[in-house]
Amino acid sequence: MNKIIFISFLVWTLAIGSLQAQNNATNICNTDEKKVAFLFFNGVWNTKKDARNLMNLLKQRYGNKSSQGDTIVYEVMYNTTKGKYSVQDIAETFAQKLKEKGLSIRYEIYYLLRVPYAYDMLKNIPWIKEYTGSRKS
Amino acid sequence: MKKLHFTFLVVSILFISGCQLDFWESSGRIPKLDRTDTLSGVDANNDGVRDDIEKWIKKRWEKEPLKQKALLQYAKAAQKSVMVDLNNQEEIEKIDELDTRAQNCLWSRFTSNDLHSENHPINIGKEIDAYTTNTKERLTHYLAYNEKLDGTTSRLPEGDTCDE
Repeated sequence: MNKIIFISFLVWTLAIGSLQAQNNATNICNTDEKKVAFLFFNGVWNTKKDARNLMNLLKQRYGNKSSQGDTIVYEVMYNTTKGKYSVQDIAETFAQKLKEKGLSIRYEIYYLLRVPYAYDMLKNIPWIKEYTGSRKS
Repeated sequence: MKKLHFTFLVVSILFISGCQLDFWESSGRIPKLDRTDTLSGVDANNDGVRDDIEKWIKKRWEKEPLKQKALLQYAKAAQKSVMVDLNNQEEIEKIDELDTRAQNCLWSRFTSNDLHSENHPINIGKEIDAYTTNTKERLTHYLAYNEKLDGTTSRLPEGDTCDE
């Protein structure tokens, strides 16, 4: 999943980034100040917060000014996944697993599996191993 | 030595029986969560943060008040997103704006570059999200809220967006 998100991110960032560079990135800003914009089209199996987190990682790397001194802005264009494999479908599969294991009260596991140190603790539980394995395939 | 063996035995039993979360909960590593069947849960002092999460944040980060405040702001915005009227698009987008500001505040006060650290804003933010969406109703509502944000854009804010 991370690979898909990364590739989607990379493709869009490169495409939009180069377009913006050609136009000196002035057309989306309505000001005379030159700006470089990172536009991140995202929403594949993630939340808007996830998308903003990835943008923040980029911001951490590139900062607020380009090497030419132009202001860099970071924008998330959020488009959710629709159809069979939406986030809600994934959550429903997860809910089914929790029910099977008699853990229906522990929905916090859904997001804790996305926290590395929590995942390290939980990953060896057989059904979680099975669940996360099936998500990857 | 005996105490060490006993501790090891207890930890092993908890691990083998898949009760790691119970263990974390009793040790205070994660909060004892409100599992009432409402979206809001219990917020007795009406400050917008669920009491179980508030208590945990205040205790766990008691020596770092700036981080504590950033987390409370983040938890408050997260709580709004699991309670929002899903038919009110204007309200949904207002909450998204609050979320953006709270997330930005978190990034300004949790500055670790280590993606495995609990001091990394992504990780601590996800922990709060996990606790906020800890029942089926809350998780489903939160995901539906995200669906409603489909097609929206937001720019990462500049400057200080912390409320306190």
